[in-house]
Amino acid sequence: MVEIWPFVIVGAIAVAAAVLMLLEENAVHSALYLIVVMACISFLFLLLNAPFLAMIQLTVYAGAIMVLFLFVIMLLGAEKVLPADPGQGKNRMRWFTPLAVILTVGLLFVIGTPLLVGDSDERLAAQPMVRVLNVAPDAGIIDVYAGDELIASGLAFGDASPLVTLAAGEQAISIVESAADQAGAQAASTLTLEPDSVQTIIAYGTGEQPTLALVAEDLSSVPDRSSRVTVFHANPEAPTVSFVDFGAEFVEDDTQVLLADLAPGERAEPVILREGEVDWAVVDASNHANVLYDMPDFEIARDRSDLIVIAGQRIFDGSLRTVAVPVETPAEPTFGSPRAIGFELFTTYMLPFQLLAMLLLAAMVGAIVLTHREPDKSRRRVIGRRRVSRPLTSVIASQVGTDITTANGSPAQLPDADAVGK
Amino acid sequence: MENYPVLVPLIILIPSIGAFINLFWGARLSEKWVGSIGTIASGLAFLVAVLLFVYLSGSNYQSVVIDPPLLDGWIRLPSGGVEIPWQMRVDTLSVTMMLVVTGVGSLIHVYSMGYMHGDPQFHRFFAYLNMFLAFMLVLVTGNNLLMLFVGWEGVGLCSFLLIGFWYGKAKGVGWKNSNAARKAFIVNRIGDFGVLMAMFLTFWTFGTLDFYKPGEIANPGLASHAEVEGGQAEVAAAEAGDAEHAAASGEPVFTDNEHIVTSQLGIFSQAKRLIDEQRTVSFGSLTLPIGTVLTLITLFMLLGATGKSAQIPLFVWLPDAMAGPTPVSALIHAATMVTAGVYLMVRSNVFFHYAEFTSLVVTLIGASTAIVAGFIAIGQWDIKKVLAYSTVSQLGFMVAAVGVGAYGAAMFHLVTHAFFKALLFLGSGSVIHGMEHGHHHAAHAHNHGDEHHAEEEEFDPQDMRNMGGLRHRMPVTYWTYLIGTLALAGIFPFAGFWSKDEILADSWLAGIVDGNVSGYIAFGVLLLAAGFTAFYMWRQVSLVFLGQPRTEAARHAPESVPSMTIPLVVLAVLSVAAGFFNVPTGALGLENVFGAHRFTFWLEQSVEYAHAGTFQWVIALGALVVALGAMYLADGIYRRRGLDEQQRDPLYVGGGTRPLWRLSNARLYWDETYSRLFEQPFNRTAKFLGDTVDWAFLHDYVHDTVIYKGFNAIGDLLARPIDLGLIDGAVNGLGRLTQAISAGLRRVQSGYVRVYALSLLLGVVLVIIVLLLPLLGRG
Amino acid sequence: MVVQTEAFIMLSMVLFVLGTLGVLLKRNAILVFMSIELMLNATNLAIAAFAHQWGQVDGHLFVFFIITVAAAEVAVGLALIVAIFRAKRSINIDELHQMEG
Repeated sequence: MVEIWPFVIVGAIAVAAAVLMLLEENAVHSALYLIVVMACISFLFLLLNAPFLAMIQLTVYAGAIMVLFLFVIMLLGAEKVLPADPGQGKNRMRWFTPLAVILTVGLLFVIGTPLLVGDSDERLAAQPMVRVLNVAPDAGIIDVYAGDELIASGLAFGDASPLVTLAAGEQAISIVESAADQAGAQAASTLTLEPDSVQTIIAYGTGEQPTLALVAEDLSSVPDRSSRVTVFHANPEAPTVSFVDFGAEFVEDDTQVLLADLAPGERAEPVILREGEVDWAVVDASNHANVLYDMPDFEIARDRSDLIVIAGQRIFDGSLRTVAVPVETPAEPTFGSPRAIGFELFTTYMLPFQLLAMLLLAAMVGAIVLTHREPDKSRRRVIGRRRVSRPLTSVIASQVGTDITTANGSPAQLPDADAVGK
Repeated sequence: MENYPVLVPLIILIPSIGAFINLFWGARLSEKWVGSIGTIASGLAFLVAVLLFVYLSGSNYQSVVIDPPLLDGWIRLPSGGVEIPWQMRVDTLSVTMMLVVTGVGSLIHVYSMGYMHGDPQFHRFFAYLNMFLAFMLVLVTGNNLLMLFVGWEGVGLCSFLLIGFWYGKAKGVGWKNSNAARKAFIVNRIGDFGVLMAMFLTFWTFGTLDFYKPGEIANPGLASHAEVEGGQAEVAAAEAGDAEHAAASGEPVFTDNEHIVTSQLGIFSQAKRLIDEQRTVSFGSLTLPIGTVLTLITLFMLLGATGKSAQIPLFVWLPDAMAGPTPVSALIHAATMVTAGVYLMVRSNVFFHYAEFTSLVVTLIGASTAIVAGFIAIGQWDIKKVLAYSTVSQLGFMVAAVGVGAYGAAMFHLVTHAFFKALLFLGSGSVIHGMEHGHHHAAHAHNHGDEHHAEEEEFDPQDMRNMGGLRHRMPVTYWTYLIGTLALAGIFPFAGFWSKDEILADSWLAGIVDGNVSGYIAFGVLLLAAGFTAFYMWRQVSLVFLGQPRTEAARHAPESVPSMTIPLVVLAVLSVAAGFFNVPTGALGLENVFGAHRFTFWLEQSVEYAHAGTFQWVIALGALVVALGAMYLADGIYRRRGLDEQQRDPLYVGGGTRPLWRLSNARLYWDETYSRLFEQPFNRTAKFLGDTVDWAFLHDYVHDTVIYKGFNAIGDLLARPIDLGLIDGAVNGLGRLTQAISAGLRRVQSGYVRVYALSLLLGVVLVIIVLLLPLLGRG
Repeated sequence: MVVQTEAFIMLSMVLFVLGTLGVLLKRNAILVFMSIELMLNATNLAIAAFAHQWGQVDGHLFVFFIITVAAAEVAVGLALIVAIFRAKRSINIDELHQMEG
């Protein structure tokens, strides 16, 4: 959350700098004040969770654009522009300034009043995203319908369907055998889908009719180099389990309990784990020695949100074996992070991105064309050489400390602005 | 012989062809050819008329209706119920007219060959003469009022053309000629209106315009014979005038029209039926008894007759018409065209018989015309003007005869008058020609060119004061003229005696027998007019032929060529003989020689009310005395005394008669009165309409100011304020607006980066406000 | 005491506003550029705060990209400034207003 004091201070600085920018006569000073404003805005970007923008603002805007401004100011010697004589030709425009001020203030009011008075819309809730995980050992290959919509097809044991967006509220979920008519549903239940949620429908349980459970997931951004792990116990015939990391083999008491006492049908709270390989074992919660399922070298990748479901798998002899089925989903990138920006930029906004590139190219060419002069080798006028006060070279020279001279010893001058070919 | 009536279309066709040839090719032919073609055409038409006469005489005077070829079915409008077939009637009345027209016409054609010799428009003259003949024959052969009217208008047109024949004469004379032609035409038009109205009323009343439909009997009350046998049988039958008598004597009687339905009858038979049944005629909301309608019809016909036959008040054109060549005056204005009105009234004798009021009016008009024209003729100096007014006066006789119901007498006088008046006119033409030649001869003999023109201008060959003693120079002309004068004056045994006395007798009888006051009036007035006639005619003869020549021209006037004198002789013979066509009974036994009432009997076949009267020898004697007395008076004044040195009329010189004579000479100021009453107001009105209404108002005000300026003003209005100002302004304004807005908006692009950044910021603030505002609400 | 995300956002806001002021008010091109960088930084802070609140790294990626792009941008921008300087002998942005309306 943004705090108020940095905001107020930096905002004040920005406004002040803007006002000073307008009031200054010296164009260089004005440019510098503008840089100050840009810096403030960059800071405000940071306050708004837009680190990428802050960087771009500083590098491109303050760093490139304003420098270009300064270049041209110095080139044209415009740091001091004498105001034109108010007498000539300005008489008829004396109405201008008051009118401009009035209109501008009016604009301020016009925008400000609704801003202050009006209500802002509520953010629309996002629709729930749902997928189905089939860990029912006896159900076979299933199709899943939400209402009349097929949301998963051909799910074998351990398969998860991709995320689909459904309408919030109550949905009638029905499971049928794959490619079979919906009428003969193996299981059907009505589940309430909450908005702004990511839900996994887990079909588990022995017997012909699997049980449907709704497990909420959290796909929001995880801290850096971390992953979120959520565990759900979906084997009703297994006892309460714990997730244990035995650690080194030979070290005593190196056992870490990651999750304790997860009863069947329960969902554990998501935990954030650093990336790496872990050796986990799903053990009986009461007896750690009873290893139900071993997960050696389980890799925890970064920026992921994993759902591990403990399910019973029927093995060849008909008995049920406890397994842990991981469902791995990449987590959302951090809001405002370059990753998030890049994510959008190279998918949704690819075309504008390329177009802007073309635009920049055109601008480059245009700038060169507009300012290009034929080199005038024939004559070099002696008269009317524009003397700029403190040309850039001398500024640089003074700062550097050395004199920059041309071959013939005179201080370097800018090319003659007079000899413009007409 | 039965087929002779089929020839009647030829009578119109042959003169038409003659006119056609002379009109289009006459200029290239020699005078001999042109004249021959015209005369032969006229002669052939006369031949056809003779054949028709022969036919009628041989076929019991049965009238025939002929359909001319190629005109079947015209005019027929089934939708309007109008059926006016172009049919030609061959009956005694129409054949009478045909004979007169073509006979006199042919003689005048011969005369014209001599009279118009040397005229550059010789061919045109003959073309017009033939055309006139054709139209006149259409008039008289027409079986319906429409055909009559077509001929009526056609002769009016030809009269116009012929009166104004010398329209091209210099020094204003041509203008005077064309003025006279126009006057004739326009005055005639007033009469034509009358005929048109009569036609409309007739058609409305009777549904047809046909005089008599084919198969109808014109005079069903007349007993007739199976065959013509000598004059005695005719006389006996005519005297009887009684169908029963004839039937009792075993003679077959014609069937009358009683078996024919009314709608199949002609207008006259229908009128008789309607009068018998005392029917009424409705004109829309107005209903009139048939008697009133007939009165109206006949009054309109009278109007037409006053126009065409030159009665009061429309006679003014006839004296002016003397501007035309003398043959024209002879043919048209003596013998034929002017008789068309009389013909119309005689043809419509049935109407006039029933329209007593109109008959009274007719009598009054005719009588007054006779006396007035006779009075005016006394004071005229122009030889042709005297004859013109004489014609008007004689036409008044005819019209008065019609008025008192003496239709036969009117027709008889028409025929005889045609002969002697044509004779007189042709004779005057001969005199004028002689005077012209004499003047030319005298002028050349005496002056060798110096005062040639001046004398010729002032010399009027028609002025009687320049004549005198021509009986020695022009004997043939003199003797024929003398015969014509005696005939006109009504001296026994010349033609005028018989015809004029029949009129006088019939009007006296109308007064005595029928009790018509108009008869007495007519008798008295006509008697006085007869006296005037004798007076002015002998005055003319004295001044022209008797006495001594008063000018060199008269002294050297030669006799005319034979082509002119031969027709004079022929007409003189006719003037003597024509009288004996219609000798009345009781006329000193002469009827036994020539047959009594031959003409009347002949006419009765077509004219129902042409009754014959007995000889009233008291009246005849009285008229003869009056005429001789007048002639003696004139002789005393004009021959024995003669004109004075200043060539003034003795009646003028003599104190008591001076005002009367001046009135007569001034033609009773009739034309001047018309001018004051009608012409000048008309001209003023026309001037007013032309200058003020048309020019000042319509042209200047309405056209120029209202329409032109108004239109321009509207155009200006549309162009400048609306088009330029409004529309262009809008369009340009749109542009300017855009420019202004853009100029304003342009300033946003100041070029200053900081301003752009500021505007960006502004936008951002606004957007955020919009977006975040709901949040504020919630919060 | 937890700092709420809101505090970070507030701070980011203040820096952002200061950067904006610098962009708007400074005439020196290089100083303007530096103010832009300040704004970017403020933004980065805010994103990172939220990423932190929700827990999602995608936020960080985003910041990464922003920084990259800022770098490219600065390269080209400064080359531009050099080129402009060679042309106009001055880096006063108020003198660069040729493309005006």
